[in-house]
Amino acid sequence: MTASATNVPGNVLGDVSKETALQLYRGMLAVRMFEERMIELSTQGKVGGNLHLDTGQEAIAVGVCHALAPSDLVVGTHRSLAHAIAKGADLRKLAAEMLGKATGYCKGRGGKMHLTCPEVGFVTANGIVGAGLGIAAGVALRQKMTGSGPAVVSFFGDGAVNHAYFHETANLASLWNLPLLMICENNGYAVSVRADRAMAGPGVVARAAAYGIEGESVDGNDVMQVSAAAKRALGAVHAGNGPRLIECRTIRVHGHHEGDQQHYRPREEIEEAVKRDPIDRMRGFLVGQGWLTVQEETALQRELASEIDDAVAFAEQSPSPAVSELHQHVYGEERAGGSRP
Amino acid sequence: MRKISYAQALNEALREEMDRDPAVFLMGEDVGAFGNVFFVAKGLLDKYGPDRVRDTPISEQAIVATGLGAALAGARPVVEIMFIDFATMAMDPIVNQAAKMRYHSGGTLKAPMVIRTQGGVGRGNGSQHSQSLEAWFMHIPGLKVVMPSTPYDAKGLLKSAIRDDDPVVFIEHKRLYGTWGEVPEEEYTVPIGEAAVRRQGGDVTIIAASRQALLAEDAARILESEGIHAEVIDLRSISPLDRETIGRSVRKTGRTVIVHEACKTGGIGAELTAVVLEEAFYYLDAPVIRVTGEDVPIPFNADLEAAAIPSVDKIVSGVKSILQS
Repeated sequence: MTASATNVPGNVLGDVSKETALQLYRGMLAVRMFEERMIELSTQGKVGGNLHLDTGQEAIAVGVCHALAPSDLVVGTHRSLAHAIAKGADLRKLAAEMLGKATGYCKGRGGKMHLTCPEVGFVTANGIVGAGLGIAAGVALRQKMTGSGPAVVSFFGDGAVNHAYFHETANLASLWNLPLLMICENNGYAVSVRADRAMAGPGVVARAAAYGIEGESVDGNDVMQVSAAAKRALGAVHAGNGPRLIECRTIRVHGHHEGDQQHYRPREEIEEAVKRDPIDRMRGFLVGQGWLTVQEETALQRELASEIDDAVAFAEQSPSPAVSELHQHVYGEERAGGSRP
Repeated sequence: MRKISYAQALNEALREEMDRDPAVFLMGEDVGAFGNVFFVAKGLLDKYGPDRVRDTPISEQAIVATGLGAALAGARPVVEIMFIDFATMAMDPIVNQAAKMRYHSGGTLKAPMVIRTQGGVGRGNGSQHSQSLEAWFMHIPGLKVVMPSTPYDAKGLLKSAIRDDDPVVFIEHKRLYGTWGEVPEEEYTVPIGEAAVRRQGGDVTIIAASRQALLAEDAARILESEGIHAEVIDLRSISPLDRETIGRSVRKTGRTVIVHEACKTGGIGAELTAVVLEEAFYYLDAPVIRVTGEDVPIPFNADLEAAAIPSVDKIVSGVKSILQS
């Protein structure tokens, strides 16, 4: 687990400007506040399906995406709202998709687990553990074959590292020298099973190394450490040196999904996770540096709340997709009538 | 017209499409120097190089998923699953991923990829290399499923599949690679979703696909000599399914025999029977008959193997039994 982490921000202090630090903080806060609003809407029955949220892990999505060039692409997971927001997704279209509306990113067909936000390079989320790795490798293969430059980032959890997708993809990506950055969000749990009861051997980085992929393990609750590691790795990926892996150690705060009571976990573990909150840590750092006052913090929260209010209002006022269009988008050329071809 | 083999026809389709469109590339087990186990990819590595003719490790899941990712990013991959039995290891990328991308993105993403594979019984390959799993894929909205029986169709349909913007499961038959047929030298394609009426007849409709469509034609010739006129429909693709051609034929003949090599339970014959009922119930003069594989894993022993699937004789008997009812 991640006991070595402390409340002191990482060793990259010297590299971080005030502007960058504030951007990172704002990014994490935006994810947290958007997701908290989704919990409210879910409680009101407005968001369908299970909510798999990123609470306490915002530093990974935000840190990695901050290090990306705008043209770099991201493939997410089932827990991907953070990845999409961090990549710059439009909150209105995102909220609309969460509510299943016609104005959503997927016109209400996808929801959170199958999200795509093409205009910001968020290729797809995925409801299947590990599957995004295979798809990301394919996107990276296309980039390599066309020499078009962008790197592809694949986020995945520690659960995926035990899946064939991880091993088959790591092997192929390494063999073919693909421009793929593999980000393992190791939050210690795959649904209810703790990682140390699911993963044999010396861990994620060693597994990547076995395929000839260089990797490092960082404190995933330190956004500056994550971002610095992502920059280093992307440098190598963009230079054509093949795939890299970063293990971001974190702790899951909420259950696998909202409503999961986590009876399988000791309370202290969750308390420890809350203590290590990446947003609190970053706020502490910013205040300590004199880069954020209470008034500025309040103003920032107000600004984000108003952006989210606007997004949710847009979503709530948006129409549902027409039931008459149920059969649209199954195949490329639309077919008349309601029956299968 | 010149005659070439089914395998050569497929090879020509790949060649012509790779020439036509640089986004087309091949990926799969032993497609490179080996040229595929049935020589469908013969010579392509030499012509197009290892970047576009990519040998992969034995990693079916990654082959399809990587092909899908490349397709989402603008390529037109033709990925190969060497035997359809091995598609069991790639069901996630085929069923959960490729089939769904367009729909659950609300039409934003598309997956223009071909999953080439081969199925069917033959040559004592036993239970893990002889299955006919097409019904699995026919069941999945978002996939197209093509099963050519002749060299002409194999070439024309593969070219259409490569140009199609949706994922196509392209199922060849292991006992057809060495069959020969007329294939024009000039450019042509065969549209996906249109069945071929191989023989006209007014007494009974025989519906089949892939190798069984050829057996159905043989059966029809024998029946003809006995004064029974069978209409033979070669489906060519089972998704989209050409309901119009099926309906038109059965409304004319009033009797239907459905033939497939897969085992009977849950096979495409069940779906085809329902289609016949939906399209032509009031025209039927007899219950629909299915001549299919037996509900057994395919055995190794040649006699048992032959007994496990339809034959020309079984089709002839099936037709005669329906004419007596």
